Amino acid sequence: MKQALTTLCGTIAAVALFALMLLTLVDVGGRKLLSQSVPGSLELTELLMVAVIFAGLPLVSLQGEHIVFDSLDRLLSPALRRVQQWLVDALCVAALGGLAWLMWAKAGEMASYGDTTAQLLLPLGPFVRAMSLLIAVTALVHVMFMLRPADSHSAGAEDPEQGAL
Amino acid sequence: MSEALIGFAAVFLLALLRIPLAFAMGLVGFVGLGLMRGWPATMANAAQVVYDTGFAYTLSVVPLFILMGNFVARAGLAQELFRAAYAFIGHLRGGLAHATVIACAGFGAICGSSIATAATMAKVAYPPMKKLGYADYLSTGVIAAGGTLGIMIPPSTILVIYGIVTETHIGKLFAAGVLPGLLCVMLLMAGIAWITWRDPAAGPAGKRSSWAERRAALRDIWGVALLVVVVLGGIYGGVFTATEGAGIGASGAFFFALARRTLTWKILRQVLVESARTTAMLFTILIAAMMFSGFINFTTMPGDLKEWILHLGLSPLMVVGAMMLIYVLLGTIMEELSMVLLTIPVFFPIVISLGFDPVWFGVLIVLVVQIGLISPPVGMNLFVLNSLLKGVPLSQIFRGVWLFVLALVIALVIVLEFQPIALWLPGFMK
Repeated sequence: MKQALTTLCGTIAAVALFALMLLTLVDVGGRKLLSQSVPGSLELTELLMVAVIFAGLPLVSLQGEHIVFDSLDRLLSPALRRVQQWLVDALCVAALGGLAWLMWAKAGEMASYGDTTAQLLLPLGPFVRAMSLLIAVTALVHVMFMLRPADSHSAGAEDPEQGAL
Repeated sequence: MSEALIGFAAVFLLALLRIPLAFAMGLVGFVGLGLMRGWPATMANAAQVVYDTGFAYTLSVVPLFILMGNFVARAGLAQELFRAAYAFIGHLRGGLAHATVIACAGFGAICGSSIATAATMAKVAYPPMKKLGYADYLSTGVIAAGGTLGIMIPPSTILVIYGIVTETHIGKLFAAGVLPGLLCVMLLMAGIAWITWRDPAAGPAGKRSSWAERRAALRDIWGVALLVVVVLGGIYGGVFTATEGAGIGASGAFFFALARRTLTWKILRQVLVESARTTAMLFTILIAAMMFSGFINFTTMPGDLKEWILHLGLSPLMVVGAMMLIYVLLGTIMEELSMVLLTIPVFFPIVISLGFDPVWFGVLIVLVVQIGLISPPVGMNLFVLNSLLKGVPLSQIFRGVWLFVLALVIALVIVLEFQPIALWLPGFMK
């Protein structure tokens, strides 16, 4: 499950990011050198950004890379830490679940208005639905954390070299 | 006013309970706004914030600069930067430490992350320093402090984020970081000189390189130099926007890594996924910060505080100085990105109403983040070194870094007192 999720979301995010890079290169190059830009490059960039961010989100949760204040961890007994982590995950599930539901509703609204992108006229509803689904998948990651045996829970980020700053 | 104070207290309380900061800020912002404005409007607003932040062309600058830094880190370029710097000054007392600072500055011109710069340089610069008999407290202190140049010398993740949340011109912010970055380089090198003067055994001199070796070392870094000139020069000269520059830079770094045969399919995927993860994490906290500031801006706090401070009749510079003091103290225990995002909605309007330039304030923010990243007990750069260099106890890392914390505090005071250091270069931009 974890493996499948890592592969799927990782592939979406990686392909989208690479495409984003090449799109910007070709678009800028075309505009500066040939005075011709890629049609709809602006909205394609936006759609790719959505893919990068929201496909990346479940991975951030899986790796435990959200910024947390963990200086008090030492003061708590392992048993208490487990209870605490369970409650934290429960709260994350509630927050992400709520957000996924809000986005789903927004997607429905946009689909019913027939909202599309400005130039290429791509329907926006499905993309917002995908955002909602990926947020829901992230909620599921935290559900998975709540269900799994306590000792296998990783406490912090596994890769110390990646950080916000 | 009291609603906002309760909101801040709630965020801190939730964070202390180990709830990820993004979730704490987002939830408090959502509930706070919901109680004040009513739920239907707040729910619509939350969905809109997520939607707007996701579908935002200009924000693609974030993943692209992260990607550029990660490609270049994989290309093994830090090694060559270090070797080139060493070829020129390695024979001086503390020469390897000086070379580390210069290599960090060079690396910082491609990489916008302090943590990545420190982690990369730890692998490149620590082993030769150890081999030459450097004291651990000096070598780790230098790498930790030098790493923070990654966020002052453009590109810079924190400047991009500051630019986004305060709607300040990112190109100007980048230009503003250059001279303060060089100032930091000089002060860190002064710190090294001081340490090796007091304790010459801590940083012995290396062997002198011949001019032929120096030329050869310089030849190895022309590719990066070109990339830096094109990307930063292009942004500064107005040839392209920061977003476009980021795309060109990431592509350039990709072809660079490809040409050096450091990319396999597996590594390419790894670099892309890592960059996407960092992006997603940043956007999570960015979205949460926007929800939180939406709530704070709806309360009377920003206005009340502004009025109160203007009534106190302090000199404007003293007000900003007091903010900086708060930041430096908070930065010793708090994670810096969340510290900045939490306080911006309150501090930024005050600074602007006092008549200061938002670009200058952005540079000050970077400096306090730099200081926070290396000041014990909670400094991310120190923890990164601790996890990478298994043989060095955290106490040694803490011991060596204090002098460099002081050096950066001096840089902060200088930029605070002497605004042209930050504002002179962006002044030429249209």
